[in-house]
Amino acid sequence: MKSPSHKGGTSTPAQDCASCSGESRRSFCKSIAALGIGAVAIAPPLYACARMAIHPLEQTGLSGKEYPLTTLDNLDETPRLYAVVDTRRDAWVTSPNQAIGNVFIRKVTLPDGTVTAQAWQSVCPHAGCRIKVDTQKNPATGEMETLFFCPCHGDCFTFEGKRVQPETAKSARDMDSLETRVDESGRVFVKFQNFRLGDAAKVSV
Amino acid sequence: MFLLDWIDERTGLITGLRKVLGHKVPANFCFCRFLPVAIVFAFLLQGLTGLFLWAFYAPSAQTAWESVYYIQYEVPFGWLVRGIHHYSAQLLVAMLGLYVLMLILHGGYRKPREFVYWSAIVLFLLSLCSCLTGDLLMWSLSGYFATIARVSFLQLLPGIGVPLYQLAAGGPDPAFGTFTLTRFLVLHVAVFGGGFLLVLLFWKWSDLRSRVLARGEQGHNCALACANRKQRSFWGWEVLLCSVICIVTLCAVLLLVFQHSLTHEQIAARSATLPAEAYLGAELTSPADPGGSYDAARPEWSFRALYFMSKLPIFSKIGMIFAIFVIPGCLGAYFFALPLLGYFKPLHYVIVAATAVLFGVFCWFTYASYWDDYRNPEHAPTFLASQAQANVLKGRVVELIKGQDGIPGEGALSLLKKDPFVQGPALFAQHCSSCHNFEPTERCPKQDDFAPIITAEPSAPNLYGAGSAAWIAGFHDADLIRSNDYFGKTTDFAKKGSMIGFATGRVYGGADTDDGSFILNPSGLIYPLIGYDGGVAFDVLEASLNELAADASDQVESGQYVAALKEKVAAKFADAEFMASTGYTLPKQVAAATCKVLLEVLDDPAYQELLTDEDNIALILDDDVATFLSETFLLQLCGNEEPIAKEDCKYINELRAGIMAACNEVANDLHAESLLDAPRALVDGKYEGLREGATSDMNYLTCTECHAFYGAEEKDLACDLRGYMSRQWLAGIISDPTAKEYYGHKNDRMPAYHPAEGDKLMSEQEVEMLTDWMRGNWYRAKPVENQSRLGNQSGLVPDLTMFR
Repeated sequence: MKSPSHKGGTSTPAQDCASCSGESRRSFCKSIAALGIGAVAIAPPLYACARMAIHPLEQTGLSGKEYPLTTLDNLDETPRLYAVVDTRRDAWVTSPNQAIGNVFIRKVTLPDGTVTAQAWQSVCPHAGCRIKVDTQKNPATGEMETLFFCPCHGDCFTFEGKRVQPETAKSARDMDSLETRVDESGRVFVKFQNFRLGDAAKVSV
Repeated sequence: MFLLDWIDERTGLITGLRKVLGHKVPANFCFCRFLPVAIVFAFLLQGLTGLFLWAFYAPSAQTAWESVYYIQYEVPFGWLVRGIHHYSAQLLVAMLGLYVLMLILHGGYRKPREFVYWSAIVLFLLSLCSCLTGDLLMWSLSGYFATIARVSFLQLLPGIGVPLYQLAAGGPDPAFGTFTLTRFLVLHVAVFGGGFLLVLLFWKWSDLRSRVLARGEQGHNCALACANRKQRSFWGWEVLLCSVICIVTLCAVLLLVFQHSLTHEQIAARSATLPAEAYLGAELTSPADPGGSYDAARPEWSFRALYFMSKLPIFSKIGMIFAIFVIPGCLGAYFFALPLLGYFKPLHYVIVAATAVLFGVFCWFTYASYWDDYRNPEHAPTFLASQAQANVLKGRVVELIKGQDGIPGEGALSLLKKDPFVQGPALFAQHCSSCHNFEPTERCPKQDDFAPIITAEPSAPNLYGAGSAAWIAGFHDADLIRSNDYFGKTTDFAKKGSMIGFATGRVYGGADTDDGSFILNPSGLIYPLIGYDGGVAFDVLEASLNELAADASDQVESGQYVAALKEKVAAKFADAEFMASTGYTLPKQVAAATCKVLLEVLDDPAYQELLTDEDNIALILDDDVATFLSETFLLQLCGNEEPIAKEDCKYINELRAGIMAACNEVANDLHAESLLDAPRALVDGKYEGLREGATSDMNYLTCTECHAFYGAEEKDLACDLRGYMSRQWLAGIISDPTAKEYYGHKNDRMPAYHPAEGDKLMSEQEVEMLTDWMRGNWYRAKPVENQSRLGNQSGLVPDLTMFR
């Protein structure tokens, strides 16, 4: 390949190579060796930089810790929002007593008569907005009703965390329920987790 | 291939690259041709590492140091990236300087390579500027104070100086802060770093162009000379050599990165409580402290010559502006003007000679500057001391961060500001050391944790080792109490005097002789006999005084009172019946010595004066005679050096052994109190953790006659021994020594540093830090293996032992 702008004066590598193919081969080997050595020269800093760059991948996030958030006596049939408070580590800063998320908790009576607590992530599984408990028109019945309501895109969920109209809802899955435990003294523990957004499957992240 | 052709047809990139790679170079090895390769490689390292550092860096006064700390100690290989960035910059400066010198030597500054030369100079200046601005970005103690000095020099410039200073610093004084950092980051990365890249490209282009032009021409410079020799293609051996040069450059950088971890000795000298990153790569001193100081702040090696020159005495006379701006400006002008001077060929040799002289001066000044800091017997100790101090801070802040697993939001400096280990000595020096000494003694030898703080003329107790059992036991040694180490030069006589009396009495000051007899120190003997509880001498004196008080004869009236008293005393001692009534069965010799001393006491003119005053006599009888007699007069009377026979010593020795045992117990008990946070609580009728018999020992030694102690009758004649030297107690006495549980109204000079009412000389936090420091109560770092890491990684630091 010859550049049209390249005339006179100096000869191009292409011409050199055409005239002496042996030298060209030797030159090629040298060049490969040169590239190898060059790669060795740049590899350590490059590796160190790459390790630095992937540092965020090497850190552990929420470990699914249980948090005592309230007592069973305090709960209602209507869900209430509770802040999950823990030590937040942001880069080098360690700040104690920071809200790391919010959960809805409500009291339920199981068919066998035991009273226990149900909890959900307050993050909408659709696009991550904060769900509210609000009086809205129930899209299924058309009546005003107190529901879980996502203000961003208008999805409604029942107090069981189910989509009111799964066929037309924007969210691909029901609200993300969280594991709860009630100890002997009636304290309610919630295992706090975040889940992948927009997915029909509930996958913790 | 088709894709390459397709691209080339539209861009010409492939052809251009081939042309560049195929250009002919001389077929010899010349250092001056490979230095630029190393320079470009070093800059490549700069750009690469700088980019990743930038991704972690947060420019603000509360986050800059912290983010660099995070890079150095928490991010995997962050220390290596930072180390490469720092040291390749130093190398870059050095190589560019060398390159400029070689251009001058070879005449490469002359036609047609003027722009090659000029751009090399600009590159050199830009690399220096990058170093200067980069130094501050760490926001560390050394960088901060070094940069303040440099930027402040801008103010020397007439007219534009102050505005220029404000522009650089980001505001008027006190300017250095977040805006300085944001501006310096832009200068460092975009202006100087980006500028470097542009000039570097221009430099390469003009270099390449001048080589092409030079081909076939005659010339003086190396490039031309080389160009006329046998030639070969760049794409081949030449590229191979360039790669080797890159490897060599990298090795040089890595050698600098690992310079503190190369030998066994260096590894062995590491602190067990600090992670290995503290010794790898570029140094990170403690966070910048605008309220602090760093006397060892020095510029980088490249500015050492200028630094040394600016300190020459002549500039203090003619003005620093000459050292900082005029002379460097002239030198810059000289180097820039060389290509113009070079038109006159004979001048070349003059230029080379002048440049060599300048370079020689540079080397000499640089050496002299280092010699002054490290070798000069006059200045080196100060420099090395402040460097050592900075090293302590540098390690301490890392220990604190590792210890509490992170940095609080207000920044790492706050950790140092709240640390008793760091602040304690400073607070002591500020508030206490004008009176209190803090010097190791025979009894309380030097501890590694506590550096002495010597006071030239102490007037208050020496507090070194205060609270330790050995220190407390010293209260039983009269000589120590007399010395300034325990009570200082207190003006309250009763305080010092009573304790001396008790101490001498208790331990029976004196010495055993080789043949088993005992030389009595009368002042040591008399006191317990005089003591409160019907001691012989007390009984004798009291009886005598009472008798005299009842006697209204002329003898008393006419001032012969003391003589009469002495007669009475002597008579009482001789009166076997009376002596028996005291309940003491004193050996004869002891009784005689006691009598002798008592009579000598009464001979003392000072006592006579007191004893001729009726009011005083009433007071003496009313108050305790013990305190009265124990005062220094008594102590001066130590004339009896006749040994007491062994058999007569039995009584004394038994008493002494009992008392000594109790003294030791009490010293240990009080030391146990000093380890508490607060006085013991009463739980189920018992004081928690108190040794059984502690109170009775205190009673036995009559401590509780003046001092309050658990379960004893409340006394407030002297300081409260409940929780003695505990955190609460010590903080309390520093806050307000006039409180009843400390010195009360007897406090004669110690200021109240944090009284409940009135002016506060220290904040509550400062009092607590001082207290904690004195009690050795600060965070002790664990050895590194036992520490958890922020990011839960392990094995990030290579085990260098494998290379040995």
